[in-house]
Amino acid sequence: MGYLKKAGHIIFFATLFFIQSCSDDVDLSGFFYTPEGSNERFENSMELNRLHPENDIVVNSDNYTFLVAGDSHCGHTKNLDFFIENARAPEISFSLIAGDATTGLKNDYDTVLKHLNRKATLPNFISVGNHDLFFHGWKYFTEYFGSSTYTFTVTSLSGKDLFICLDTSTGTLGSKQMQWLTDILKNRRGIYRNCVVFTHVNFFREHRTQSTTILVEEVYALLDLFSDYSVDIVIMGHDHGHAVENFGKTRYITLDALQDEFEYASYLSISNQKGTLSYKFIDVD
Amino acid sequence: MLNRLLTGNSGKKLALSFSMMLLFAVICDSQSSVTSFVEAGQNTIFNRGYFCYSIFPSYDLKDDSFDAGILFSFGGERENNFGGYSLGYTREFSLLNQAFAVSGFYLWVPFSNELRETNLCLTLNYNLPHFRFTLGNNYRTYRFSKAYIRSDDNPSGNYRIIEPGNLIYTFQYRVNREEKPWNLLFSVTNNDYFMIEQETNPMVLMKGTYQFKENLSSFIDIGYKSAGLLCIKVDYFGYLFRLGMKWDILKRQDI
Repeated sequence: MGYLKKAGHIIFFATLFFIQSCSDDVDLSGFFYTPEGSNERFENSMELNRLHPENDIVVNSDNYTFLVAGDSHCGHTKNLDFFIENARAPEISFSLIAGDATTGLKNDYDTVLKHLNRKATLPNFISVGNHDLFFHGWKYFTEYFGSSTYTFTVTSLSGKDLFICLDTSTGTLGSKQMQWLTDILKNRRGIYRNCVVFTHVNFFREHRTQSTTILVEEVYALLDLFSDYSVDIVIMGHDHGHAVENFGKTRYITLDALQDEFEYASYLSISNQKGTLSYKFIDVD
Repeated sequence: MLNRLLTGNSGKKLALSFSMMLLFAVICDSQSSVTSFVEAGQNTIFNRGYFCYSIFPSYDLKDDSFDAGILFSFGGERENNFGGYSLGYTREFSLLNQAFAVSGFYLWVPFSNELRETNLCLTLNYNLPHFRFTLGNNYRTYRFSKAYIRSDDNPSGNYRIIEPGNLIYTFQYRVNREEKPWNLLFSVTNNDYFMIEQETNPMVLMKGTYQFKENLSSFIDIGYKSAGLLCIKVDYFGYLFRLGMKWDILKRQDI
């Protein structure tokens, strides 16, 4: 009878998980299994990078400004539209989205792409977040946005800067992406004036939170790399609460969420004035 | 490599740690013991594997125990082989006929030539015949070394990141009671000898122990670490194998 009782408990919880996995927001199967691991996603991204060469954004002035948002979790697009509308201002050169643009559903990918295409005339660079992978979202991410690990450059009259997009959507870079990042910084960092890294999962606990950070061993390696190669800014999302840590020569910025229901929704504006980077958070009213 | 270990700031820390161990050895009477282990593993950072050696002398005085540990790590691209040291104090007590222990410990991990991690931890342990529960908090700081700060040409004052308290936990099941000569233990935990992960990054650990003699026992650990569990996108991070021994140096019957 004891075994039957235990089996009953297992069936009950399995059913509960199954029912919850029918939710539109969260894919609970991810607690047990992720179809595309970090190394597999990295290999997919490198294949896409071979097909689509690195972007170089040319700015015909000494200075430029770009906007960064994260965690729009579309569906709803009120705040995303506000961000896109502001990104169309003439002084803005491009925009970044630091993951979780969608909830992983195909409809949401459709919505985000439609809104970006309808309103935006400037380049958008998107990093993948954990929510983007829900409901087999990796397939849609690559189809709609392409690679999740890539570089692009910005050439202004005053200098040339390197931007690196990392995929931390499963809480780790994985061994192959880590090696790629090391090689990029080793071989290319010296050529560029500024270096900006953007990704989804944040590295530090900025407050008491159950929002997952990267594992400590990986944080050791990343802090060391970013310090050794003087990375200027690292931008992260995921935590839905903005924070700024200045550590050595590197500024680590965690974004607020751009999600419609989020009370303190904001995005980030970063200006490069002849190689000096400054930032401000802009509230979404 | 040994030269690198014995010179510079790491060398001083090493000398300090050895001095502390010597101090423990001198003051230890019949309650002293030494735990030592070798560990091999593979993870995202050390993709081709790594190897560690650690030694933990400890001194037990009735319900109090003090321990100090030192770790040497090899393999992969690392800037030094001194993996860290720890200092700990534990007091066992009984409350409502239940066995509890409170522990405080300090970890110092020089994870590169110029970067350090320190952890201050406080835990409460509750011990049952087949289960052990540990809950506590750690306070983590990442910082630059004093040598780096002194040599910084453009001092910014941004040399430290202090994280708020993080939950430490261990839930352990033992197949046998502690008195038996062998045991199998299964744990879910976010802390290991020289590593404390965020509460959302647990590790699964299986331990086997065997008591050869009254004063000599050995253990084997197999650990698996995943990333992204509370991202709800669990991914592989790494695994480890550990082989260790515990020697109660001067048990009364050996003298």
